[in-house]
Amino acid sequence: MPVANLEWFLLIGAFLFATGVFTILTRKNAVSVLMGVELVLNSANINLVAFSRFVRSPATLGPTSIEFPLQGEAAHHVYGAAWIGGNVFAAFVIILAAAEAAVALAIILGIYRNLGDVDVDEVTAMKG
Amino acid sequence: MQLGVVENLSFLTPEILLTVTLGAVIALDIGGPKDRKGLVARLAATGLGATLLMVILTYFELETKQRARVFLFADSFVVDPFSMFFKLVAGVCSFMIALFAAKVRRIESQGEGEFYTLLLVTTLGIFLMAGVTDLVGMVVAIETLSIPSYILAGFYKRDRGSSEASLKYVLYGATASGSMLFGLAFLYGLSGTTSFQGISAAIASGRADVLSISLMLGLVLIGLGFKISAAPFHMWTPDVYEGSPTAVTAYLSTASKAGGFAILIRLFYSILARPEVASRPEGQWIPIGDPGWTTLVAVIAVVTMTIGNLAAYKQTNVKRLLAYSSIAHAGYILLGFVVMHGSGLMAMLFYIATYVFMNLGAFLCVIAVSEAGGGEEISDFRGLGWRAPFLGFCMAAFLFSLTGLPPLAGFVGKVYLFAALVEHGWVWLSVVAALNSAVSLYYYVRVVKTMYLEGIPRRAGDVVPLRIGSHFGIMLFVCLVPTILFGIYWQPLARLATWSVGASAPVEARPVAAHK
Repeated sequence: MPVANLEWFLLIGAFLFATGVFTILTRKNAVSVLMGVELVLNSANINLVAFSRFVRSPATLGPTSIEFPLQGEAAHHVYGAAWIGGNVFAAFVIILAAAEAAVALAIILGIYRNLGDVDVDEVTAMKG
Repeated sequence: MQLGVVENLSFLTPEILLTVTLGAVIALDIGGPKDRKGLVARLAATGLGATLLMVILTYFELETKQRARVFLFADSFVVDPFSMFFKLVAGVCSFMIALFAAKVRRIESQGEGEFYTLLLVTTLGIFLMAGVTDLVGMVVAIETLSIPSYILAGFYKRDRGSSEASLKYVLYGATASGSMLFGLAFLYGLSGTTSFQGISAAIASGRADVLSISLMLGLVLIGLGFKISAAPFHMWTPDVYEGSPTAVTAYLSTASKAGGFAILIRLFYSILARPEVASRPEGQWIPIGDPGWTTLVAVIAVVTMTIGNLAAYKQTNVKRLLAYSSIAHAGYILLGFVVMHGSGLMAMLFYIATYVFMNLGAFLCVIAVSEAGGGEEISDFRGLGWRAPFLGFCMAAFLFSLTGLPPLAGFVGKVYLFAALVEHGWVWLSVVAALNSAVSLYYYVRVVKTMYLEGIPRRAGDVVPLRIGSHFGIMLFVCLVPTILFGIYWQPLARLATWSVGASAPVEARPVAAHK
């Protein structure tokens, strides 16, 4: 059985990203466009979590005033939290995606109430 | 373990004060008395005024204590003169908008509690954008600005234009930030760190490939280009600016843009450039990796200003015209970005500070006219110079300043930008920009012509005065003073901008701290 390595996750991420962009560009329904956006955000999440798991160089720490005498694998077990920057990043992205979806759905609801339609091609009173 | 939070908390007073005001506004809106007409507006404006005061005090504190920069929260947030400059600009914008939204009847009827809450959150977002030096913080700050902005754009819930504006804004915005996040994930993966300094150190030590990092910064540029409405990510701007409530449009075109420029400068200048002499960010900067990225930004700047100026020609709506004009101005400001010298950064800061006043003023005129019963079309401005002499004069001054005519602030800003370009070998770019300015004269003057040369009253008694009220009159005056003053006596602002660039490398790779 092949071992999952970083490239696999990145490929899935890239595939999700491409699918998301394709959805955004081709769909006419505002809710579908929003689903495309969620795919794009989650592709970033997959990459972040994968990088967090596989990239374990001391560079993860960056220049910081917190000191970590241990390096490499040992540091990963001892300091844990400092090495999971990508996971923390992903957690933030999930929250942001939720907030964005909530606001966008509320806006789409408002559009539906005013115009009776959520087709992005129909919502074009302003042009030029 | 030294996080440096508690002892340096005083440098965060503006942000803390802003958050406290935010809480107070929400509490007052929910639990306050029912007949509290205008109370929320006054509270929000007072809080913003106090925040502004604290920003100025912190600015002084940085200077007197000779501390060029203070890092907070494990180096993910920095308080330096560069960030304070943008906080000052954004604070002034929010304060002005809080004041003039207080007299907009439609905002009051839609629920001013919500309006001021969202306005304060966006302001906090810009304050954070000015100071973050970490990818995670950067995303959080940008979204703290963006998400409330989407709601603000659609604040007139029953208005078709406003709903349409917010739908377009949220869909474009979410797509842009999605692409940006994808790029940021790779920045993290390539360098193994989320801090700007860390990425720069990773490139310097050869752990990260600079070409891959540059490509991923290109994706990040989508998100930031969207914020500052640079071409080709400007498509949303005219529709959103036209449909949104005018007070929100004024905000999006000034404070929100300033925040976008702050993070753009800090990110790119910390990762893809370094000062020639580490302690002299006001001097020459050296691009890291392929210097071609400055040419790319130069092309973006040219396309942005040309599209903005050409499309503004045929506009009949003043707000839409100002929207295209603000796209063009994003192009001008980007010029300072390509110079790779402290003088270019200083010119950007100077231009942003002056642009904020003239643009706010122009939008304020639009608000004042529509509140006094006029409209937002250019034809509604007919004879305005005679019907409301002071407003007409102000609008003309703001528009001439936006064109860049002396003796107004916009002229000095352009001189600094073009001088920086010519000095550092970008002559073709400054020629294109100067041509663009000349082109822009046409559509600005068209509005002035409509105000003064059309609908001229035949006899003195024919004038139907348009009363804008003392509140808007005072606010217009407040915008007018810096627009004229910085065109005649600009040295203090120039010194402030120079100091803000010089005292704080917007970014500079800090050597790995050797604390024990």
